[in-house]
Amino acid sequence: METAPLATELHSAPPKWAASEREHELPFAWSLGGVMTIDGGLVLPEAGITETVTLNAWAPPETRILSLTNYCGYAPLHRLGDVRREVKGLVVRLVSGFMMFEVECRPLDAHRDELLFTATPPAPATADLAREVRDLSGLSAARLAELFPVERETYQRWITGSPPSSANEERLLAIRHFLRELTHRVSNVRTWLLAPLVDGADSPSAFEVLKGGRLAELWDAIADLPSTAGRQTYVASDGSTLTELQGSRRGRDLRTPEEELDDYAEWLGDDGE
Amino acid sequence: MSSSSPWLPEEPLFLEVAQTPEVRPHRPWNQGDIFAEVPLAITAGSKANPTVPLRTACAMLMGNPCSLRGGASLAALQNVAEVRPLKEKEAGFEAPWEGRWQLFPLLGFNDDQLWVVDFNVMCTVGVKQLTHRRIACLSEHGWGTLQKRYSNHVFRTHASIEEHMADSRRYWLELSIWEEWCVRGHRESEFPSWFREAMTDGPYAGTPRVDVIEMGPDFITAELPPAPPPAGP
Repeated sequence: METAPLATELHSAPPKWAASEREHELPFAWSLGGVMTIDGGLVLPEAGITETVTLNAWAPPETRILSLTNYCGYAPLHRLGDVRREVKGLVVRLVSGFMMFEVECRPLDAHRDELLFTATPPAPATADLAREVRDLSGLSAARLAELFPVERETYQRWITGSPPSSANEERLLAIRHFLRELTHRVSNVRTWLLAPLVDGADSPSAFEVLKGGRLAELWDAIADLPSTAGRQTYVASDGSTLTELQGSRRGRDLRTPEEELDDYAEWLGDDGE
Repeated sequence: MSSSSPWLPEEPLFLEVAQTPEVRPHRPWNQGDIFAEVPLAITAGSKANPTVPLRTACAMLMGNPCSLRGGASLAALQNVAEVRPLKEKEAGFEAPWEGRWQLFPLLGFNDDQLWVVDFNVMCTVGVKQLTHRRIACLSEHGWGTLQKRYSNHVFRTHASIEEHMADSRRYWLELSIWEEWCVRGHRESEFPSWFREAMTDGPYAGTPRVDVIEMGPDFITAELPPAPPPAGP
């Protein structure tokens, strides 16, 4: 099995990964680069070996993130012939367009011969949305709550599955779209958000501008920054080679002023009412 | 390897579609609106003897929402693309809609057969040729789908439908509020100036409404003036 030799962090399995007798299917949403899948499952390496696999340039990003986040709630036990393995440690780390995770495996107790999954109920999409905004921004729930504005506990409840109002969901989506693009443009999102937007002691920070609802102003602030968003070239079924761009193509809000409208009388003549 | 994101969404392409005009009469025009009985002209014939055949057909408005109008006024000339049934020689154009990149499939436009937008037949028409002739408005998903397809036609690059939708969200929200403004009986031409006024209440008070559309569409809607009272006898 091929692996990508990239270093990452290995964390212990989350405490919620408790043993359970309940079966649960969890197909992977995509093929892992360099790793075979069997019926959608993960082919695990030999016991005791830690392998690192890198997923590159997935799309649409939210689908992958949601699937993998849900996966974190499981301790899958796969039967591969007579070999039984348990995934001991699984962590997702989002690094500028890549997802990296490590899988550490060890042999199971020989008496456990059922395919078992341990899971918390899947979180709603808005929970992942709130969590992603928190993770992308690097800000605390208390800080993020100021943007809506709601109480810190309310934002935390969004993360654990309590649905926000449709208006707040709209705000979360708008902020997430901006933060996703911001990760392509700056090296440290949290620092950028908390720093003055322009030079000068009196300049508000980006966070304060966002708190004032002026998201368009932040988009303008990053419009001229180079982006690290990638592109994916592929061959369509008709043989065409196409290119799908990652990241936002949003430009500045340049509206035609009414005074610049031309009546094109040289074409239309005198089309009076 | 096939496309990494689909060319058509699972959601419907249309906000509303009808056989005859006029759909959503209170909704301001947007890119992707389809109009009926539009006179389209192509320059044909020889160099020495050019002709201008004229044909009446359905047509899709292709201008960007920032360019098809200036302030509250519609531009005198509008760019449209022909909307027509799929030709016999185009049979085989079907899901996953790869190939024939000059065509945008309009699923849901006609029950009997597939109609398409032909990006190779682009015409400029006087705005009066479109007035009161709209027969379809795209949904938000439909608009993002159009942008993806048209971008690929023009540049041979594109983004996912979701990315296009996210980038255009502010304009979609503005159009929705503008439509509600008109439904309440206010003049369409007076919305842009109101939209640029400062919020009067809520967490964004003091900031122009246009600047907070993404974070505060609910607060902006709450500030819409009520319908004017009916004129007295």
